[in-house]
Amino acid sequence: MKKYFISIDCAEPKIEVNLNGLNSSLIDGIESKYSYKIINDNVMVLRMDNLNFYFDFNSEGNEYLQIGLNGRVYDVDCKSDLDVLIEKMSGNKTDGKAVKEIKSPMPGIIKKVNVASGQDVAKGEVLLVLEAMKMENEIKAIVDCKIKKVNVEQMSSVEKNELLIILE
Amino acid sequence: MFRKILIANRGEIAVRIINTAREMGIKTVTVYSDFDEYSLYTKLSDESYHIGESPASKSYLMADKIIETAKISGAEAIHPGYGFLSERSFFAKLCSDNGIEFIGPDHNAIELLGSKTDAKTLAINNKVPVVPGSGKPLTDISEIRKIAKEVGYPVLIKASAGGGGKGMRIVRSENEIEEALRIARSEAKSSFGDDSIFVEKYIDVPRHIEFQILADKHGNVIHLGERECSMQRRHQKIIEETPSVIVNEELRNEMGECAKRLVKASGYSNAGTVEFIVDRNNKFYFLEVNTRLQVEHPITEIRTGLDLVREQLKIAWGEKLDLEQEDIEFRGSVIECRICAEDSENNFIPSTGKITNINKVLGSGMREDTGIEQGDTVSVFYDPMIAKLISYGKDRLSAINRMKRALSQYKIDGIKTNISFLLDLLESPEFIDGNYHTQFIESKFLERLKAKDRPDELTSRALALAAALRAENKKPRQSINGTSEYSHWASKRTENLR
Repeated sequence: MKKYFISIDCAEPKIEVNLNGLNSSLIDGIESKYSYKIINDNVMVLRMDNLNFYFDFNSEGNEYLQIGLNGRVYDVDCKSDLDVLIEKMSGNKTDGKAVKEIKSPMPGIIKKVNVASGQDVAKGEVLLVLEAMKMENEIKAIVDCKIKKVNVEQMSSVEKNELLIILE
Repeated sequence: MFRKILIANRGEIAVRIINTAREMGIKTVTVYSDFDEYSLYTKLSDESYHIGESPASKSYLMADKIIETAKISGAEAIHPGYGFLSERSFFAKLCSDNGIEFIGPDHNAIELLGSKTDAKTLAINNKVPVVPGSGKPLTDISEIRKIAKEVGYPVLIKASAGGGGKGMRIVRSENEIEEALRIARSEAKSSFGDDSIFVEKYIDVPRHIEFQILADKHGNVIHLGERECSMQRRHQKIIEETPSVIVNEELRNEMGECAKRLVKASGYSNAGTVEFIVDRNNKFYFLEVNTRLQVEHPITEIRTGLDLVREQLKIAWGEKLDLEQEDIEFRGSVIECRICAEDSENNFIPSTGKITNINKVLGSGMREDTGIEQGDTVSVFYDPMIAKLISYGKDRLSAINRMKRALSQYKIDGIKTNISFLLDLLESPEFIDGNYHTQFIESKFLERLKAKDRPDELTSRALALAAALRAENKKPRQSINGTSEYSHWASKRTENLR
């Protein structure tokens, strides 16, 4: 079951969407049947409980995904449960304390190591690529920082919570 | 009739002119800048010539180059569209000096009407009301007082050398004038070194209402009714409609006759627009004449059933108007919305970029004039207006509802547009009641917009699901043989389509 957390126009709390895989979803606890078609990168038609929604997407150059519906545009922030986990693990949600360690958010294989000890990295830079459940997840620097030590190498398999990188 | 004309313009208006020319069997020549090499209007015309770099000053404003192109291509006439060289008397003269017909008025009429003071004098001489005032700069306080009293408060006093609001004051009653004059004159003196002052009646919450006229070269003039253009932001029209809710038949006749008198007196031929401001008591005052086709001309075309470009071409060719004033029939209600590439939520800054997608459903009763298509880029070089939507209804409410419907079905991606802003305007009680003026957006409406409506619960759920499904499909997934499922799926789909 795939889980996503969505915020529309920065509204809180986020809407929780569970995709069950059988064209059925649980949105904030309400079950809906759906079908959909992606027409192109910008256009999708969604039929949710037989109600039609003809969306268009605009993501280039914007902080949020912009979804258009009936002439109105909404700023939408969408994170998967893994994104949320990665954020937590890499310290995005720390309460002001400096991040010193980056741990693996889930078991998987390190597909790529982009940094080395002693390297300065800027916020947003991709440090590692972790493959888990056949999906590649980029682990990014949350703040400008300096790498003290990289504990893993390419193709090493890691467990959940395993220490990946130590920061100075 | 002309066999070939050159269009000294670009974008939607070039497309508009090409369409009528084609229908009349006239060949079209277009000119393009670097940027416009393959823009829609070039592709739709018969011949295209490169005339320079992307900035308009190095292409569409190069009069000599355009004249030269007309000669090389064998075009017999030039249609200037709007903007660029359309109201430059020297260009009209250059055309006639080179034996090319300028599709517009004679250069003398452009020059006369292009001068605000000459146009105002012409209006006064032809009994067309102008905003009452001193008409000339004054320095004598008692004379200023006297005129202020004559025209009636509130009055506007402005430095004769002024500009940009400096030295300008609204005076609402007689006991304020002494102080206001003192400040205005000292500001004027320090800013411009000239303390002479104009005084005129201040028109509070004015409406902008204009009349379309057609004049042939044989002295016949008709008007095609009014256009209400008060929905403006920073003097830029956003929504236009006809008829105006405040213009009844009597006022229409009165204003229309004034417009005709003025145009006739200037020795004008071709299409033109006489602009008026109208105060809250429906008193109207002449503002200026636009000696060209207007952006908003389609609403008049729909309401009268006429093709204004066709009329322009016939007039330029020397034909007599085959319509008299009594022949003009007005039908229904028409609205135009200007779709602009701008970020309405971020101080209306222009939005540039590649248009990755356009989907629209125009349907019955809608017209669209546009010069762009999917894959085009919106640049910083030219006007941000990318399309005009025009809706017709048998009455005003049907026209509004139809416009709202079409706007809500208009999808354009890759750039930001003002579509949502237009919908907000159309839904405002002031617009619905027709109770708005040129200061409405800036004085009232923008403030209101800051409290943005949240989507309802059902819409939120659908948006959330759409975002999740999109994220789900965006993921690069590794399959066993190493190709991504996403592209595999895509290629499978293409196969099925064949």
